[in-house]
Amino acid sequence: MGSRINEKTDKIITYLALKLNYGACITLFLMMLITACDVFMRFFRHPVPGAYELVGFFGSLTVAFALAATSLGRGHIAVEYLVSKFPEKLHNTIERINCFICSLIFGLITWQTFIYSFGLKESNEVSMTLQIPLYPFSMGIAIGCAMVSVVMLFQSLNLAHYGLSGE
Amino acid sequence: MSFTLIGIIGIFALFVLIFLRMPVGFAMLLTGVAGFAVIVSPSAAFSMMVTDLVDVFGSYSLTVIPLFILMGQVAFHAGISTRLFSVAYKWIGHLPGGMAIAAIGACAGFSAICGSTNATAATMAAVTLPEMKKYKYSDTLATGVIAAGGSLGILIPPSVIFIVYGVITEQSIGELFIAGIIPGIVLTALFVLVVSLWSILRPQDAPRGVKHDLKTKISSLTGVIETILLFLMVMGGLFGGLFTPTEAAGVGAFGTIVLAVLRRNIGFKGLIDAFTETTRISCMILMIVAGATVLGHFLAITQIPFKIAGWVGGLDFPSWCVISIIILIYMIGGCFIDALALIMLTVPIFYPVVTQLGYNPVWFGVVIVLVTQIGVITPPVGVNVYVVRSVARDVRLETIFKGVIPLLFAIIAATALLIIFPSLALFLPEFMSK
Repeated sequence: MGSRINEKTDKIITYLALKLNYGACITLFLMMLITACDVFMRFFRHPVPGAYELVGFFGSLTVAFALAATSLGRGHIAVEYLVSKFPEKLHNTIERINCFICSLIFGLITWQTFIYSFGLKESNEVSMTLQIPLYPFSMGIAIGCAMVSVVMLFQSLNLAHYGLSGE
Repeated sequence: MSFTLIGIIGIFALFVLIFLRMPVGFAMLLTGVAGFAVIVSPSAAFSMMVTDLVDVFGSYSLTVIPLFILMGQVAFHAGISTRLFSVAYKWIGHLPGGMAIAAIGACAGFSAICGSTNATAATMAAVTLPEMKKYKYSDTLATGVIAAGGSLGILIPPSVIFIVYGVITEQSIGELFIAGIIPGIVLTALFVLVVSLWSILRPQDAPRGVKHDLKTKISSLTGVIETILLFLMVMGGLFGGLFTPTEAAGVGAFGTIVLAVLRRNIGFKGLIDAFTETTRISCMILMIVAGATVLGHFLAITQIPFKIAGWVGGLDFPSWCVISIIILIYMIGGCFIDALALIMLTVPIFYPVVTQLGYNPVWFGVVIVLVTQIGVITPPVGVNVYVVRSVARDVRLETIFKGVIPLLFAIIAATALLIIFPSLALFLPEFMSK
């Protein structure tokens, strides 16, 4: 039963994290395209309006949407040196406690970023050039952080594997 | 409890978390928020945390990082690295240690379009190790050369660490890039010297390759055209004042994709892999930057960086003695903590000291990039060694570390040269600004 729950949750978590990471790939592609078009069009005196702010917005979504897949694939830099010397049981316990603490931090970030986004929405904050509402982008960051929190929580409960499937 | 004491407890807690394998970016974020909450208030700390995260993730000047990483990833998946090695091999493969020298040359060439030491080591290991094995090069020499050669990735522009250093110290990224060129060439030359000596002293480690005729050599040069074109387009536009660093990176990434697609060197799967890998590497780097920003705000209210700067500045030691101690700290620290994380942690503390002592911030940036590269190839952390090991699975870690030792002297010699002759880093930026 335990291993069935493992497999199922692991599959769902990996699927969601990878889908979100594809979102990050799309925003990265848009960042590159906008920058290149802006430089190219500048030669014809028609730069892309608001390129500077669009690249920043898409940049924030790229990082936020890649967070869960990076965490799941253990892609964040960590110092293994000391913990790798510990017995396996202690090593795993420390790993799970770490994941639980990180899950709490990202839960806190998610909650606070949603509050921040609702504040932006209520005060109708918009960007300087294109006058685009700012809250959808901070909501995007909140969604990315929420996914990390879930990934870390499942890892701490041993319901999701460390490392992306197929790695 | 005084703010300084809270700061010291915070720094201690941070190191405990880091050595208990909490990801460095998360540990810095947690310590920064907790410390700020203790000194000011929890609500102020939460608000600072969210503002910092939104600002860092959406910072236009930091978007240069994913774009330059994308350029390197596409170059790898399009086989540019393979072609670079092939050209270098055809020209010098028949010389003593020629294939290893060709691998260093390819590392230097690939560094001109890739900004990461690990990515350079991983790429060149995949490309060159099977070839060196085929020609019966010893594992010690072959793997050592690639692990050390990867360090050229962050010295020769573009360089992720120069970008991050430039953003946190408010130095020109373009100036830092150009300052890394001569030290990068000097280090490449020193690596070549070490490999040549090694091959002469132990010819059994590096059997000579096949000699190619002049026609083959000249026709092989088409393999470097794309790298030269991309480097000239990116760096020329940047230094010629046509683009900002982010625009240079965007144009570079776009140009690399266009070239790769036109030459049919990359398919849809290759592009997807390049984008997926880029988002993951960029996320890892920017999470560290975000964590360090939050931590920096906590340390700023404890006044610790300013107190250390004031204390060191007031010491009765000559300035060279202080800078030597700082360099030694980076050398030792680099052995235990990743180069980027170490720079993010320590630059806010040492930067005011260095500028107060009258040292040039650009020169200091090049020195610490070079010094932290020692840690990238030395035990116990030695990230590049692990990267090479992940490709050469049949080679023992000890063998790679053994192979790295002679090349380590080259990095130490390059650092010493840079300290004795600061103009190695400063000549080009000063020349360009005239």
